[in-house]
Amino acid sequence: MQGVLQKDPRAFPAIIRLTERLVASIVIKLVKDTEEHKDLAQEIYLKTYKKLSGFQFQCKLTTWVAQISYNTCLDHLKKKKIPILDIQALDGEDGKRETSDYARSNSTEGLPILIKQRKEILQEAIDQLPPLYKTLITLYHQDSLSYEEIGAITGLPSGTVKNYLFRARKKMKDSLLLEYKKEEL
Amino acid sequence: MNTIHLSEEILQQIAIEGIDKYPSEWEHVKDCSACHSHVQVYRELIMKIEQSPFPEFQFDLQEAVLQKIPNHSSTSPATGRKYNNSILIMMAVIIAAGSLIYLFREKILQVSKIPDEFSLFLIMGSGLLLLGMIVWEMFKDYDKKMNVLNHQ
Repeated sequence: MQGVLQKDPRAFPAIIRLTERLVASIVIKLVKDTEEHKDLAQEIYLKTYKKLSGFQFQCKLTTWVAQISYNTCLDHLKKKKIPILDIQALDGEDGKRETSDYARSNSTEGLPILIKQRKEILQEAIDQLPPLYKTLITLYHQDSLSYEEIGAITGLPSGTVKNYLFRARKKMKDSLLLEYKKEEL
Repeated sequence: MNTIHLSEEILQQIAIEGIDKYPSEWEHVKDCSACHSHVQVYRELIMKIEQSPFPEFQFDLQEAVLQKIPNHSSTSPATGRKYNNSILIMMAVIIAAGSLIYLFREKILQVSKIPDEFSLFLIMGSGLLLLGMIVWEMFKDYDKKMNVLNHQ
């Protein structure tokens, strides 16, 4: 760490090793085009290298690098005019959490769906999420980050992170139930 | 059994945190096929996400990044600065010593005029000392480069 803060290049690979998984989670989930991942990763770590002397230990190093990754990807998507949270994703989701009649009417009980089909449908439901939802879901359920940590990375309040996660799960569940229903027919 | 369906939030929490934290809500879920199936779907989804492989880059990240880092295989700025500082200190010491000897030549050397041989000795000595330090710096730089190359 001392070497890294003194900008000793030999210490920088250690930072890359430490943060690679989190950076990959953010870049891959936010930016769909795999050909752009390499340029983005290089840009992220170049920024990290340049800003390293300004790191103030106000958060974990991994969180700080993740913030840079998130903001770099956001800038990239803005340039490309790709929304991270499309309007459709918010349609009919006013944040209220009451029981929906639609959801209640879509029970999966007794649906004879093959396990293989079920896995594919599950994957599709995840893939169909808007980039921001996909990223939040990955950070929370795969990287096991807390609402606060995700908030620190994305700059969103913890309550918003919690709300977006709720919506993301509900959206996935609804699209799953819809698929199951189609299979039933 | 409570006939009112549970909210989506509670259904999600039961699926994520388990039934132990929501015993009274579970009483409803276990007898309500609709709520039960929704909890099941949430569980399946979360399990699927948690069991998915971690996202990974399809290229060597270290190699891709390090080739973009400026002078990543040369002497680090901090080390270079440290070394430059020691050269400057050494120069200051030599100049200060030379000035003191010159100013107090009558007391120190018991002469009013410094012999040419002694002046030459001082100049040559200082020059050789600085040259030695520059060579040492070059050697250290080379050593660092070799270390970086050997560790890649």
